[in-house]
Amino acid sequence: MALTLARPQTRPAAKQARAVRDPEIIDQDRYKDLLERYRGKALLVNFWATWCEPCRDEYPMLNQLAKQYAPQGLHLVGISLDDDGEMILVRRFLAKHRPVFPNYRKRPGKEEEFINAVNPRWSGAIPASFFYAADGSQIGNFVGEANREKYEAAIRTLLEKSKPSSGNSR
Amino acid sequence: MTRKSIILAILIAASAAGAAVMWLRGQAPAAQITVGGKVSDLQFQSLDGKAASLFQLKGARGTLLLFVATRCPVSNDYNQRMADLARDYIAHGFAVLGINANRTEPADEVARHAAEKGLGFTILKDPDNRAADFFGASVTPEAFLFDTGWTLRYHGRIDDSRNPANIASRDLRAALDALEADKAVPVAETKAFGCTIKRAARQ
Repeated sequence: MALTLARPQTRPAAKQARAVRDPEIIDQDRYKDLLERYRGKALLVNFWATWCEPCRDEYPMLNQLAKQYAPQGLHLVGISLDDDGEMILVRRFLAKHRPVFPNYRKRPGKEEEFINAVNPRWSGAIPASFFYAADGSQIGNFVGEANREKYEAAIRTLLEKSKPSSGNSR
Repeated sequence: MTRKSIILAILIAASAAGAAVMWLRGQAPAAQITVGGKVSDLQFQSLDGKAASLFQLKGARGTLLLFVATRCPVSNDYNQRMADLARDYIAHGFAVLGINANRTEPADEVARHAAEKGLGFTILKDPDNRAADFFGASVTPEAFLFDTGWTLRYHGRIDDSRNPANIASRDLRAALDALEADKAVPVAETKAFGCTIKRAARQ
């Protein structure tokens, strides 16, 4: 009787996770560069982590909002606060949700410096979303959970503030 | 420019100015105490459901409150460090109290978690988030260190890295050592990082 060794089956989730590119690492200097790159545009930056349940809960909504408001000029960027040891979870998360917006991962360490660079009044709690008008000014934020209605109202305000006629873009 | 268009322009500008700052309250209410301020007695609940008064749990050298969680990976990364802190500083006369303010983590789960992880310090529930709200605690873990006169001497993180291999600043230990030596705390306020506290629904 011949013994056939079956090839190990790769689980679809793991395979899919490997196909997703790892988020680029970002620190406070690169964060400033990122904001500069988005100058002239309406920008929403969302901080999340796979270990943050409300972050996971709101992420699909953010993905929908990114698609919905992109034609009106909204740009959304996600920044994961996951640690190096959580990369498998990060890959799975991104593979599952397939975000239409770019995601970065904060370089582990120097938490306080990074938090203060984003906003010195931010406690560092997540989820946290920061709204940047076209002139680069941070015009508002959500810290903690916010429902779709609140996000949409904030996005509409952001887009209004970022219109060229409002004198806010370069 | 016509008078009508001038008025319209003013109205638009006024509207834009009003919408210019939309700082929204974060999840944690504004703290009612800052470093240097005094705390009044606060009530908690022991894990077997009994009332527990903060002032009755006072340590001879000072009292450390640690907001903790059972399900937060960040708080859990600090389990060993918190157990070490408790072991080291209870022996030196400090009271170390864990506070679980998460509505999603029942007392029996908190008790099981503490036993399994060998935390070695008393953990209390803050069922209505009164203490969490009073302190403005927003994440787990988050530390509040009081001297024997109930003045808040340190607030913030335990140290600066989830990964113990990358710690550069052991802020809470430095604060405890300063208190023990009757010296000024070198850095009295740092930003804690971790999972947001799952507060009870507001009435």
